[in-house]
Amino acid sequence: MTVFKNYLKIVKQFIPTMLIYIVIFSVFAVLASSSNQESTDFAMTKPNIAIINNDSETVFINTILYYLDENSNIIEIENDINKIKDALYYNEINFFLEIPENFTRDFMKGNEPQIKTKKIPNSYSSIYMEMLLNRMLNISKVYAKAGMTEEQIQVSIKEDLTQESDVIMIDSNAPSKIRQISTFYNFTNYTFLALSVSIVAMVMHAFTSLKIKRRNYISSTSIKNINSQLFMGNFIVISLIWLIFAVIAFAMYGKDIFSTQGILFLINSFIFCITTLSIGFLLGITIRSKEAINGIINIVALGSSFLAGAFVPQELLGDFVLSIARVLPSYWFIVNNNIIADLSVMSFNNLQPIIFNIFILVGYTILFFVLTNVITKLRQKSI
Amino acid sequence: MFKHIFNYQFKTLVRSKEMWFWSLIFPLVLATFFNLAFSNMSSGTSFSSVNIAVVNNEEFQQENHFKELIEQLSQDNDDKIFNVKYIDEKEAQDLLKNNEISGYIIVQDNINLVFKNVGFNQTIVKSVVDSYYQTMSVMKNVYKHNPEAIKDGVLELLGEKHNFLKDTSNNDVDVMVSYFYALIAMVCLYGANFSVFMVSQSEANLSKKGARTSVAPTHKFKVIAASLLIALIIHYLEVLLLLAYLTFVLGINFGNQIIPILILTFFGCIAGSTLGIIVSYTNRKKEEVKIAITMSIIMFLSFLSGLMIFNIKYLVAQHVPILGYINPATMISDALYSLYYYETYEQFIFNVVSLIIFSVIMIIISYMFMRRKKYDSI
Repeated sequence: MTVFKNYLKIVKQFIPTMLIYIVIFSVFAVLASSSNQESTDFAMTKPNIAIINNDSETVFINTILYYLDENSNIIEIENDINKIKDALYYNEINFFLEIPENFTRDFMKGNEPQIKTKKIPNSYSSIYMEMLLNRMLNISKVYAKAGMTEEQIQVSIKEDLTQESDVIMIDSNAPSKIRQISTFYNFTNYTFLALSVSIVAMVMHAFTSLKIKRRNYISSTSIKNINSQLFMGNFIVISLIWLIFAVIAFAMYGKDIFSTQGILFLINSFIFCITTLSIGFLLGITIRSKEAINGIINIVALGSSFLAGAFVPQELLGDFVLSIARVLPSYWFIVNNNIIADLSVMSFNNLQPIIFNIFILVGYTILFFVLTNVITKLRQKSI
Repeated sequence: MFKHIFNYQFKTLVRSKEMWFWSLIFPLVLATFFNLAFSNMSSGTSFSSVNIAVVNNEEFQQENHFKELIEQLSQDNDDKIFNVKYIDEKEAQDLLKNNEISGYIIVQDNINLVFKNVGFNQTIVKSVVDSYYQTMSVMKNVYKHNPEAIKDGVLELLGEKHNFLKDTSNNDVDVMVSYFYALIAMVCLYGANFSVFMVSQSEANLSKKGARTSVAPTHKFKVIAASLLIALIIHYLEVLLLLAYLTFVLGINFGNQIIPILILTFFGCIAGSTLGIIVSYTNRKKEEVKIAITMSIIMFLSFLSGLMIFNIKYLVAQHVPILGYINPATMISDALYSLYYYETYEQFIFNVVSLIIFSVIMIIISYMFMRRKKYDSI
């Protein structure tokens, strides 16, 4: 176990660097999982909107304002175009509308005057707001055509709004924070990759310098044995990192981590950690220059996180991207997280895809480990 | 003399191929990945039909209008919204539990929607059913008020969906472009790595070349200045290549603001370099540790400016605005955004000036550490 002991000695030297990485990346993961909550559900927090009304305060305008007030938070804002743009830019408001002069008069006459809007691009809540407002105005138009007065329209619209379908939620006994936990673990795809690849590659680098290699190869220990001992050393470091993140998850989500789903998240992430370890191992052995390592870590960690949907949910990525992402271990890790989050009934049938994906991750790990051995073997000849 | 040092430091950097090669390749590859990942998103979220089930009971058969509506929305054409299965309640429950449908509709006294979780698909289902209810209510109200109007075809207007809103958001800035802004900001800050590298090459305790240089009777400041100038030039060229790649190969539209973007990225690169200088001089660790610190700082700043998750930038602006003002990554991405978003240059100039102030502060602090450094025999 000489190599193993030596490995730990080298790790000790890197403890300050490792701490820097670990602290920074845990802050990322915590911030990310608590930020990424633009919910898309109808129970969502109401969007913030701002209104400038250039029409007089007619009954119809009041109806519109009443309707908007029911569906959103109206924010008072100065009538200054740059202030409004800033508010939109900094997300203080999601939607802005400007009602033109004589809107009521034109509307009641049966014309189709337009309300000017500004919105945050691609924001779900502003699209929803547009839809609601258009629906309300279209209904009012029918009432106006049918000869109703502004007051009558107001009464009718208020009545229409009370008409809603009833929603029944089943299965609400699932732990409440599962979604957040899955966001957290999806983000850790980046964290684990960046962390383990940098740390493992950094430590491994010490073993790849020519003199050390010559010294190692001349010993009676086989390369396979050396690599296995190094793997053990890496394994301990990675397990520690995994443990740190499990503790963070526990600190943030409490006992939900010990629910069945929580445990599955932990298992899945542990398997993935081992996969990232094998990636770091491979890169550390094959890449000789310190400068290259940093670039490669970023390509591997950031690139695969974007492609596999660690940051942007997989549903939003196109089929084409996802089919490419299938070659990445990250893809299977994240798919598994998403399946676990949706899991409601524990049965063998439901667990099957999870186990299948874990096997894929294990397969990747073995592949990378074998590759590492093959490459060291080949390189041995060139020394 | 300056020219002489300049030439040799230039050779040093150009010959360490891995340094400039990777810092060039990395952003290009990442940009390609970004483009790939977002190619689908920017063309609008692709909408696929929602799988639902309808409990096929007597009540449902009696709600003629609703039945028609559901059939209409599940017809195989471009407007298809639902994939509907007509089954009994037990089956519907099973399908929902196994996530094969987003929810099911069961008509009893009222139309009830049964969901397991709430999301985009469920919102669509609810919104369709609600609009059905509201339409029924409208018909009732119109009939009560003026039965004649129904004969005149007023209700047909309900089918027309007139757009009363006119979107005047001046540019179609999509989220995708903002990720590229954050990427450019990060790459500008990457200049810090060059600085760390060049400083190591000229510091006696960090490299043999540094020890050799320190022995020479040249003013230390000249050596450092020449090295950093070289690092800045090479790095800026790399940023220009990235910009060219983004614009001409990937076709990302940054608006027609070439000159301001060139000015901005130049000051961005300077800010990056000075960040590297301060990391180099404020501690006496090995080059690896310095690089680790630099990378952590760059990634952290980029994270806060929204590189990984766009919302983070908003959160920072809302809760800790001060972080936005001192973060060079945010300054760069904000300035790029403002060029696209505002008609005036106020925000842009503000950000560029902030970058300059940031760089000056970094240099002043570094200089305080840099002075009077002496080495024991090494």
